[in-house]
Amino acid sequence: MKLIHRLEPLLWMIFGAGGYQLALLLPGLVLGVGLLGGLGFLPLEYERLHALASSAVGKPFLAGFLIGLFWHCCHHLRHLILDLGGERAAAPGAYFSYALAIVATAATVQVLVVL
Amino acid sequence: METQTRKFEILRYRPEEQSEPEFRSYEVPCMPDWVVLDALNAIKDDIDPTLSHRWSCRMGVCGSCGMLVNGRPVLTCAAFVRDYEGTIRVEPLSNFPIVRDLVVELDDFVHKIQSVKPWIVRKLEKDVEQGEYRQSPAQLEEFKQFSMCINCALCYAACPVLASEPDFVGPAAIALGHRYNLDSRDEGNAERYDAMHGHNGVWSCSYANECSQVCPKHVDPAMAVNQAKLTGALQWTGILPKKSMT
Amino acid sequence: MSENASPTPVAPARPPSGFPLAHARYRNYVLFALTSVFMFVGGVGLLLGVRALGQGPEAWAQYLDALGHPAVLALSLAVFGFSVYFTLRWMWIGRKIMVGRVGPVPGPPIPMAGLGLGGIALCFATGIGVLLLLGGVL
Ligand code: SF4
Ligand code: FES
Repeated sequence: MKLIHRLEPLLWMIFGAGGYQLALLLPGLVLGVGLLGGLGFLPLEYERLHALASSAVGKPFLAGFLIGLFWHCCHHLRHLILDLGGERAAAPGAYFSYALAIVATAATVQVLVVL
Repeated sequence: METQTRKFEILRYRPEEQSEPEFRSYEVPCMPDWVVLDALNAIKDDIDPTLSHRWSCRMGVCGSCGMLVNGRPVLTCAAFVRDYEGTIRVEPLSNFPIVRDLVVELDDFVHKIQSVKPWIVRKLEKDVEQGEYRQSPAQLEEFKQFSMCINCALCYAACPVLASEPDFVGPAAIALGHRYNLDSRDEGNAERYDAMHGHNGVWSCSYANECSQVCPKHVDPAMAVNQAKLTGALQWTGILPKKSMT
Repeated sequence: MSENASPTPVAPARPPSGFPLAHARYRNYVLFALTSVFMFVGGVGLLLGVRALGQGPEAWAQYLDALGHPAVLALSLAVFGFSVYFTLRWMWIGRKIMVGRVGPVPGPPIPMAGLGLGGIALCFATGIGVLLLLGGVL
């Protein structure tokens, strides 16, 4: 927990930056891919999207966006756990949340490397 | 003027007689222009002299009459009886230990306020002969809002974070520290850093914004806390110097 | 609060009345914190999509099929709802942080409501941009 306390400003900055990315982009992405794509209203062609995602701009962008998203959500999750679980939940909640963020980051890196 | 009888449920705690706080009901004939504090005083004067509560100015400036009315932290001298329907429930401020009835223990609150050094800190004090520290209206505007606090502690009662992290230094203290950090005459930013940006400082806040909803003086402590996060984070990275912000 | 330095006997502090769900104001706050769970799920969904792109056209076709499943669509709808709520509250309460407070002279006062609404409008515009990009129009 000592380390986490020392990194608090950094964690908050990632949370903040991630929050702005999410506010700007997530509704559009979920609407486009999850809803319109899922319903078949939006043509999500493989060739074009693959080229877009694996381009020199696409990859670092996806890395920043997804990793920012995961750390943002996990930091907020830590606060949610604390609010609902009380003081006892502080340390386990923080460990759990940031461990989840680390796992998600590793998964993102792995996916992007093979893209 | 016609009186109207209203029902009050008041959380009572008298340590010598009760092991736990309990609600007790009172029927109080109220004048149409009464505030909740008037009703409490009427109970104490005419119905039950054992009731304890704090108040002083009766005009929203001393900050001593804060209580929960129907669950919301308010100044009882500014809460009109006619604005509530049905039974009115009065409790002592949440997040504070109860000394007696509606009186809470504020020691911890006072210590937290002191911990941010809410006064002008100078490396070198000027001699009186050298005159006053001058400040432009624009420089005053920078922090004026954050200096309006009356230490009523309503924001502490509203804060969900304080319920799970009792050592969080809290909204009013941070707003006050921020107020001095923004003051052009002050040089104490580095000395406030630990209290405001250490382990029980601004980072505990999850921006519930509750403090700003209940603040009777429109200090907007949530704004101060979150601006202080940005400043503190930039200082942590070294982008912003710690000494003088303004 | 935590420890009592004074010897006065006290009854323990009570939590804020009605937290977390009895008052609308606290409910909004808890709802906002819950956005983290749903947006995390959304992130995992997008990551699976990127993985499918990396695995080739068949995997991508399968991914799109899975997205069309009613349960997945319902989940997407929930994630979408939470992310829109997130955007609104983030920009609205976040506007209070976005005030230039560096340097000796304060900047011109920015109307707070304008800052919040402007932020929301910007998010709306980028959302449209994302849709156009995904749909191949841009
Ligand atoms: S910031 Fe507002 S609510 Fe908090 S103690 Fe000061 S006046 Fe009261
Ligand atoms: S009695 Fe002074 S603020 Fe209410």
